[in-house]
Amino acid sequence: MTGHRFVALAPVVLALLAGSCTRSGAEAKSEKPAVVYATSAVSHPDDGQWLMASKDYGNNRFSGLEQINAGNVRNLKLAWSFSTGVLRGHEGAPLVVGDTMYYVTPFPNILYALDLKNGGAKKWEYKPKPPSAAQGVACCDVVNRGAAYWDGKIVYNTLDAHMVGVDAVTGMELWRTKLGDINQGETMTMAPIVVKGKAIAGNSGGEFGVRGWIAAVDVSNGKLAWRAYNTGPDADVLIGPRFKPFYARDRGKDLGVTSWPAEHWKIGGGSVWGWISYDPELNLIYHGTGNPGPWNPDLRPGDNKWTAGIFARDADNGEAVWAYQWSPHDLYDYDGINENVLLDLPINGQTRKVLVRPERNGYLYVLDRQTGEVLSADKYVHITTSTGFDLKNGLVLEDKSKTPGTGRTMRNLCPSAPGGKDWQPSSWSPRTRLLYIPHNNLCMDMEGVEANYIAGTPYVGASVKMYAGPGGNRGEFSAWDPVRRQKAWSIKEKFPAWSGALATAGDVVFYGTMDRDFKAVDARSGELLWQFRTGSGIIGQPISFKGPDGKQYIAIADGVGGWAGAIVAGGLDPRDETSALGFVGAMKDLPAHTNQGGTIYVFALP
Amino acid sequence: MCLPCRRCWWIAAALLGLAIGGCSPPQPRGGVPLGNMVEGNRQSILQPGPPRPARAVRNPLAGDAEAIEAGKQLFSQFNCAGCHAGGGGAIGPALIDDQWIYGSSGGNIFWTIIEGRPQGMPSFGGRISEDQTWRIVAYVQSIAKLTEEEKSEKAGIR
Repeated sequence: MTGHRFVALAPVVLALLAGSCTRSGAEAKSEKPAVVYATSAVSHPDDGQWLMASKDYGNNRFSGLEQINAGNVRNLKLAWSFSTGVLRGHEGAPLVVGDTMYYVTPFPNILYALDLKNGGAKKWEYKPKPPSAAQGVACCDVVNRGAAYWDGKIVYNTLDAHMVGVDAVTGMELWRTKLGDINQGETMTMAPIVVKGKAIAGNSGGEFGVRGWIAAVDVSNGKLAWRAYNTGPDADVLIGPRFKPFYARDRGKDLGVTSWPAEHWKIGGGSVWGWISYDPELNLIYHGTGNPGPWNPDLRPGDNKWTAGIFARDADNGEAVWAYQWSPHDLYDYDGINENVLLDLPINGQTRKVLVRPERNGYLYVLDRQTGEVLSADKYVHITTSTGFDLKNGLVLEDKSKTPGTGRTMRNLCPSAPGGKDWQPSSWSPRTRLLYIPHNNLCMDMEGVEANYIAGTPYVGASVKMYAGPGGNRGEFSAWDPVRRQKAWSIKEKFPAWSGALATAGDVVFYGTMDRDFKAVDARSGELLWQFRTGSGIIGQPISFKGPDGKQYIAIADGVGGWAGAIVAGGLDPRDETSALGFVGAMKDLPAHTNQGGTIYVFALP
Repeated sequence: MCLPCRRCWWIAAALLGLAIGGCSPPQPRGGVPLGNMVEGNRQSILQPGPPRPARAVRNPLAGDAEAIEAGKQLFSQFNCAGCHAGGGGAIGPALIDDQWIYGSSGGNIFWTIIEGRPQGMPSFGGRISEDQTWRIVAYVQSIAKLTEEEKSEKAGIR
């Protein structure tokens, strides 16, 4: 099967394809599971699998399964669990292909294949053995956010900035491709997506002065197909005649060079460590870009293109089609790498192809994904760093009096460096037409300090202390209506809601908390319907799948960590509030609520 | 604390391991005079055979106020703070707590900086002078607030 894209086909064809291949995947090499990728724009039957971290190309994370619903979820029971043997932050999503679950651990990035016909029995494990030294250049715990399935292969990134292709049946390594260099501070932590046989992913290292890029690797042989940088000359950024940014300030030659002090673009960040979505009809991928480096804005006057922004690129060759910066000349480490949720929404009486983005700077954006025009941007968290949004120019109205810099400490900056929302991905339900967003409620004090670039060492230039925002709750789980542009309901959480969200056709939404509760809430009201106490705090991505027995299952990994949980994962000392780039200041009591862990839990109705 | 001596120490340890492995009394085989081997900075309090006095290398600048202040600047300039923050840790472990994975003696910390350590501590050898390194060690010892006695005792405690 070479053409794995059936988005535009009629549902009946999808059903036939799914029915003929779906459940036989891991059994025979000749038969592969049907891959039904879709954006939410096209309704589609759910084949019960989970083939990429975000479930679908539209980053919707919606499961069409409905056995588990708001009426019966209270009966949900643990079916089986599996210890990963690793104790760092588990941010990953399991995959389900045929009768097999796959899971990539944090460093050392072990890939497990678990038998769904036999209570999660280990079929095999694959150990890529990345060098231990890679841990020394991972800014925010040694996480991995998941893998992707394509054509009989599991593809994922290892912390030492390699991509690997593994035979999904045998666990044999088929290829391993070096994409970055830990001695330049590069790691890889994101989950790749595969489009037309090319696995696409980028580097991490915005706190190490890396030069951000996104690359595509041919899944059949591991060869690099293309690479686009997010700073530097147009030729490197893959900006050519097709590049048509919506706003005039983004038009011009080599802005990735001229919007920086001399040569600084070479160490300016703009990494790609979050989520990529894909629109098959436009043949465009959408990816964010990370913060500029160093954090101290005095050291890099200019707009610092194309950091803290988003690109629409041709999926076949990486060519840039449009770009937009959420935070030009970012002041607060507002990385622009969050999920890009592709929806078709009625805007002012017209159905528009949009991209919905709960952004780190605290605004929830709705963009026209064909042009990059901002259609709306609304506050979804408490904000003091800006006073509003200028829709005409597509710009956040920053409060310039709150600019930190060398020797200048600014206080009560909200949202804090991890933003209104960090990497933790939201989920969209086409039934309730709400976006379910796990997010933060944190503020910070920030002072700029000198930064000395030494390759392979941190390049931050800031001293930060974080604390709870108004209300004292450090996290929140909100349901947002992007058409009415308002919050439908929200749940306050003690700690940052650092897990992903999962919406299901049973109108139940799942997420986990750092203080060890895996929760099911009513998709329409937010009412808590069920919870399960896990061994460690949860920062993973919940998924739902149909087992070989025809039942619907829910899966989540625990294992606290990540930037928010570094105090536990790294055993940091709470007396130093600037630890973990200032996050420890806000998380001093986390060790009283959870230890390290690393277990996959799978739930079903009795 | 010179590099060749450390290598010798490991050879000695390996030979000693061979001797113990053979269930023989702990004496060298092949005529290598173990007693002549120079000891390095121990990273373990576990010693095969009768205990020997610790011979950890001390920081010649330990407690020197000027060295500590200079070390603080160097701690920042060499981006130590990027990983260890103000001592509470981040990418790297905390330096103000009571856990010393690779030993807390002056020599332990010195060699940790020069050699690097396998879980992500970079090797700064060749990029930093011996004098600068001792000053950073003095600063780390000052924020760790360890007494001289504790600095020895905590060597090797994880």
